[in-house]
Amino acid sequence: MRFGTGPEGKSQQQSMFKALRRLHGQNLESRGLHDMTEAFQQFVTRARFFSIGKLRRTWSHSAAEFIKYRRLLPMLLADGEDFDAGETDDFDASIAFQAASRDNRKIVVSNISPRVTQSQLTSFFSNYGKITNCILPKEEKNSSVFGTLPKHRKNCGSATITFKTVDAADRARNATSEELKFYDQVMVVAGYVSKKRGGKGLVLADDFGGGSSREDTPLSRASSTQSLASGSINSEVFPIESLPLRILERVVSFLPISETIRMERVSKKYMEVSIKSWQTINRIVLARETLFNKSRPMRTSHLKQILARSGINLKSLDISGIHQLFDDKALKVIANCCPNLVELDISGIHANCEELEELGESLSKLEQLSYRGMETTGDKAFYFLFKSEISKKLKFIDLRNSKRLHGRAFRLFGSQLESLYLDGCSKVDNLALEDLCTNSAGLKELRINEVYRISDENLSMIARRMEDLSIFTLCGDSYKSLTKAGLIHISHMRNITELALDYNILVNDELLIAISAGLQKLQSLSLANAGDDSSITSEGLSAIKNLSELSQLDVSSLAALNSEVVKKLAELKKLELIQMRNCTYLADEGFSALIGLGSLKHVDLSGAILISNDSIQRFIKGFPSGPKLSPITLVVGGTAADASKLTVRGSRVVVDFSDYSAILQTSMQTSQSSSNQKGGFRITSASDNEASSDDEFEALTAQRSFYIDAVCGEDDSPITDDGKLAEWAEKEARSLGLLK
Amino acid sequence: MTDAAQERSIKLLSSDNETFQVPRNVIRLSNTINTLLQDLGLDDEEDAGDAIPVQNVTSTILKKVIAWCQHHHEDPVAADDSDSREKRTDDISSWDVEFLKVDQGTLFELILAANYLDIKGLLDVSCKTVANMIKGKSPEEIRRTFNIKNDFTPEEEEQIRKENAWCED
Repeated sequence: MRFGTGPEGKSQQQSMFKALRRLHGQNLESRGLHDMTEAFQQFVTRARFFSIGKLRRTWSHSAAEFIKYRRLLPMLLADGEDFDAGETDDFDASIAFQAASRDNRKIVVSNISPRVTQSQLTSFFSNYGKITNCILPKEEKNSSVFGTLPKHRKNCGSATITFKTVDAADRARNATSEELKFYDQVMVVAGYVSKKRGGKGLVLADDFGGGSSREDTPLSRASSTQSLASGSINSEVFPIESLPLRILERVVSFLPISETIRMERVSKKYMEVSIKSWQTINRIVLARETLFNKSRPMRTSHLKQILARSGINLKSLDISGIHQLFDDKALKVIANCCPNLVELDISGIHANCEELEELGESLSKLEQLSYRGMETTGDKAFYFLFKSEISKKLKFIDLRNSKRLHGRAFRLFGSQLESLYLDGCSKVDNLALEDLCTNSAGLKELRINEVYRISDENLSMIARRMEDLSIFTLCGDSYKSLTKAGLIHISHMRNITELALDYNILVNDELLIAISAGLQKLQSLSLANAGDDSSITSEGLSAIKNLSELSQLDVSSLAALNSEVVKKLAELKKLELIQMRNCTYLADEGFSALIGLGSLKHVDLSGAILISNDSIQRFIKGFPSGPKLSPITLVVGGTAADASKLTVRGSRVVVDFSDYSAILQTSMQTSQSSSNQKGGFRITSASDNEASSDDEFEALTAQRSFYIDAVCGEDDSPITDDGKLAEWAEKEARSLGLLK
Repeated sequence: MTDAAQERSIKLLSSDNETFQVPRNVIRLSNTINTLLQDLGLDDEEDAGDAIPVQNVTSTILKKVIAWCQHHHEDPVAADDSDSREKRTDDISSWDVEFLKVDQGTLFELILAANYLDIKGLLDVSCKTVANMIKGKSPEEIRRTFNIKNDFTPEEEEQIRKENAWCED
């Protein structure tokens, strides 16, 4: 572990130290390189823990991680460069700085799909030239002050990208909307106007060849619009006064809630317009409002003010995930103001039995109800919520992570119920599930990950009675009353289209073969971390090729997945998404077999260490870009890929260098919560929402997280519990300043 | 509808007497024209016949409206009633942003035309554009920007301000 001693080696060392400090917050420079070897040894210890811990990796898996670690050193160096590129290190860039101002090299991208990560965005735009900086901030709005519900943080939908050259920025600015399509959403690119310049007001006109043009973009923020207002003596005024009232109402209805109410003060006419504009608003998601935040939590009086205006027209209300200090009147306000609600999400709002009962009685039209993450709410409260007629109308119920729910209320549910989410409700017992089978046999979607009290009889009853069941998830690793023989009942659920068995140790070859023969309608199958290395072999995995309708497949962390299996799976012509994280036995040969699959949209190879540039480049070339062809995301973090040697020009493959394998659960959860009610691939993970799913944390690439493992490992005992592991990882990340 | 019917074109006459030939499936985005054709039973006829007069819309604006419809006529029709969707202003596509980079007068005329022809998509993006002009301003700034007269008495205004104080920054 010696580095060169020449001047070049020295600067390398320095930049590595820079990266190390950033990672660890500890000055390693004074102690020299020995710390690295020490860290490495700690890593070895940790890797051993991992192998007997919850990941259940074989010894060869941990050997694989050594290789990873060895490759980590150059990455650390690269890391140091990343942080400083374009600022001081790069001579070319500093010349560019003088030649053209920073702003010209910057672009602002908006309307970005919430699924896009910073790394994917960087890769997407590097088509136009080298990028020195890409910032995609996350939305700062989340759990209530009680912190009951850690939620997936979406990106803000707009990003700032700095290119190395002005030319590249210009190319990106002039890109057609077809080129900017990513995840079925067309991104909007605009020039960057710094706030400083915007404040002067007049610069805008020079930049964009017309005072009004800037204002027309959705990107204009207060700073630029205000400046236009102050400099509007010369520019014309939009004749807003001449618009018909009906159109004015429409305009106002597009404003955020607080601004709509603010319009009331403009004049009498606008007061009327503002109040009438609520008639067109049927749906409110309060978490989208930026008015309330940590320092200004929402109160019941605010909710009352908003619902007094809008409540009567509302069909859908979502008050989950906001910073709130509601008192016990909040649910009463909803019950009184919103009689027409069809859809309601009150996750995180604590209430007593009477209030819940009143809410249930008042909302006679309700069809969808979410009350997630209510860890301290007792079974009785749930019973009162569903006590009234409401339970005979509900089609969708989401009670995930309600730790004290036993399910006595389930006997109240009717036959109209279509979807029921119970992930993480570990107290729900077999009696409750029997009630479900008796009363709600019409269920189409049943998610019971970690409902650990389910028995073989329950599963058999579900298979027999719920004939319409189309989506079924049974992830988790501690089902006490289930046996391998009992699990076979799943293969009798003939109409299943989506099945997830992540982390379920009971999965074996026999089950996979039975499923492949019995569930011919299956479109989505998730088996990440299922079974163990001896129970699932390549024979069972190869049987999956018989599921001809399959479009989404997750076989992450299955040791049996090797090139031969993937070659067989390449017969699944409808395959759109395939996740093969941590598949350490998958080699170039197998990956290349996927090139023939025309409908492919997403391939995740994170941590597949045997995959090299060779097959990645072949894959990229195998999918040339063309009109009406959607991009393919290829995740290659943790493989032997070398970014500098890959070229993506002329291909529709977008390469993402993140490694999701190290933080498998966290990222899986994210996709779970983001695809909440929409279609999408629901990868339901074993761990519940208790483990925080933070995008920022997820975005940590493997080299970092592995390094943290190595350096900060506490040597006491191996962490076996999923929740604790995530907690520990988060704590570490926090102490390193990687998380705020 | 057969292919032939889809390729049929409709003649539109602007207020300043200019005739425009528009494919039937492009102008289907206008509910007004759709209803008109159906009500008059013109939809099935092979011959396009006389031009349909579109009063209140000048040729410059009509040209823009048709250009918008040309670009958007293949968009998937929103399955559900789009009124139940969330209202937001930051989802204007880049093509529309470019399209609406026009002077204020033209934008105004476009809104009126979209309203008259009942083209929901165009009306929405143009209204969002106007909403973006209002966004982030205080009531005083809104009045100043759009030359709106304040007809509240100071007492009235003070009262409203007090009631809604929580939604001011």
